[in-house]
Amino acid sequence: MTRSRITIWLVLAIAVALIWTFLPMYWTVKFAFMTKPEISRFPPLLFPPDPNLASFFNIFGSDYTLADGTVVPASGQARQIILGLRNSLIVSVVVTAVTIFVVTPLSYVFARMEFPAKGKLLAAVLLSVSLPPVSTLIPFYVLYVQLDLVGTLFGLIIITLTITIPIVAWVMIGFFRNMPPIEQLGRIDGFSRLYIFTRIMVPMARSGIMVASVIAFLFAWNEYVYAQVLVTGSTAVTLPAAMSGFLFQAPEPGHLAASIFLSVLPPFVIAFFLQKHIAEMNFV
Amino acid sequence: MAKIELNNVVKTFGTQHAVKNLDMTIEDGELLVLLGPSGCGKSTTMNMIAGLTDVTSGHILFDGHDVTTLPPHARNIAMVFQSSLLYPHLSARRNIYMSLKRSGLSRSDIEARIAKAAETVNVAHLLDKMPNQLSGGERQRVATAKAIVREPDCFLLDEPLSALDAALRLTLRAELVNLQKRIETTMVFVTHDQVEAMTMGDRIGVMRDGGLEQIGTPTEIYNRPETLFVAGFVGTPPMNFLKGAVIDEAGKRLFVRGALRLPLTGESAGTPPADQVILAVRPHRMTLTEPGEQALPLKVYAIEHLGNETIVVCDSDDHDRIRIVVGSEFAASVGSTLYAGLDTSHALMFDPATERPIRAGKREVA
Repeated sequence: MTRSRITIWLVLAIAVALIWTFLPMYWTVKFAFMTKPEISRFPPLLFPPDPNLASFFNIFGSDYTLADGTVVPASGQARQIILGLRNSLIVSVVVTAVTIFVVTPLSYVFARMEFPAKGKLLAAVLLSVSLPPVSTLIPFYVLYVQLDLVGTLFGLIIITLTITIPIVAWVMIGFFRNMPPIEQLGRIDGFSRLYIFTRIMVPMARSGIMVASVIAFLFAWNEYVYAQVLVTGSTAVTLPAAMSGFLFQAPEPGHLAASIFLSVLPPFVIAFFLQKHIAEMNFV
Repeated sequence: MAKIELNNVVKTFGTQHAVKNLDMTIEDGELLVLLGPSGCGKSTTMNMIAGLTDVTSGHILFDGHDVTTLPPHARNIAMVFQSSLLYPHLSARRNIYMSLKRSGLSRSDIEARIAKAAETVNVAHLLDKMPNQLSGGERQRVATAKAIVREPDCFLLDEPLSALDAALRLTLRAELVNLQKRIETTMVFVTHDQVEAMTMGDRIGVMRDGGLEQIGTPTEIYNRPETLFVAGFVGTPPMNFLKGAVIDEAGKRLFVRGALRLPLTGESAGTPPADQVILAVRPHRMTLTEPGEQALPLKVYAIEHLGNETIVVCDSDDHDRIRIVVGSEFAASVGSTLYAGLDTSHALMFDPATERPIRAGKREVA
């Protein structure tokens, strides 16, 4: 195949991938800026004819008056959405912090030290990556009922950690493994193991830790299965669980689209600002 | 300054012997090169001298003091790692400073030492750069500065030049030797490159399978290899080996191989008759000659032109690879036959069973 033909295929492949990702996203998000009659029009409109922010005001509990004087009433889900946004932030930040705090030393030890039964222990840590969350849902639910953790943020944080810790450990172990043998340099310079880890390895691993934080944050932010069962309808509801409440209301595609827009915003912002670190992961 | 002694040092990893009963003395102020193929135990040996690897049994002495159980920084050594490893997140100055951070010296003393070390290896202008902004050669110099700033008793260098290109390696090799002679500190240098070993070492220790094959000056190693392995490992192009027998005929001692009958001269004339010997001869001690019973028939396999000379790589009748150094004007086609003679006064005889040399009068037992 000639060079130019490869280029054509490459461009096509990238175009398909982009359309695949962004078209459904765009289709949803544009609803957030349209009124209900505009949304239900057929054939569907490609662009919002007269973009407005009504849905965004509505999901936060405010009525909105359009330019033509029509009043769009606030969403009945507003309280859940506001609570969900707050709780999702709390859960994601706490889970990310705890995950990094636990996983950084854990993966360093697995990647760079030798000790008995290392292989088996590592398999045990990573096995949970392969378990679908649904399979542990019922045992967890029974346990949580007895411990009175259903409908609490604390309970949700603990259960979310069981997802993030193994996945992040998986990434970080690989990252630490690829680092040069700096410990030997540190030992020649007379530093203790603890000093070498905290003051040399961790600063060196900044990119990896950054990417690991993003992974932990995104998994926590997007977690739906456990939240749906454990916190829906309580004051500990998270954004994905709160959004699922729209399914049981009179159809309000605009409100649903606006909350989806809110929920995909953090991943996009993070991916955008951390591009450099995510790319760097491959080279360290 | 330190004299380093290894007494019966053994290192095992599980059931695997990485280093076997190693006895070695490194004299004060000497540059000793540990040479051997990968996996021969040379890096393990160096790590044991540094204290990075525990010794399974045996003792390591610095100037008569047993340091076997001391941690690395208590041994007053400095080490340069493979590819001149530096802390990647610290500037050159901070990297050098880390060597003295635990030294207890005052801030001003440390500053002065860093300035002096940077001056010695000519990196003063690079001190504020990060390792990834330095070229391979500059990194190597900074790593050296980091080592000498500690004013250690001994430098340990673990293949520091292996990742560099050939021209740069040549320059830095000379710089390192020059530096070692100026500061007169004991240096142990690990490499798998025999040219590096020959050009740098005051003495060379050749290692194989965790044991020391031979230790001696480059001249001794080159001219009087004590094992077949050393003979084949040191020298470019490598030594040629010819299997054959030694017989007495009409009052003359001959090396016989097929139709080849070579009278033995010089030291090799003392070789006692034997059914099986290996004759080892350097490629530049062989010459092209006319067919005859003193000529070895060879088939040309490849021709390597080096400019000032040419190496003809040939296959012998029993498929040993034989190399001959000839003049640069030499030309022949691959597959053609030529005849080689050799100067037996410069040949060495080895016993194929023990792989040890057969010296005049007696057959050495390993």
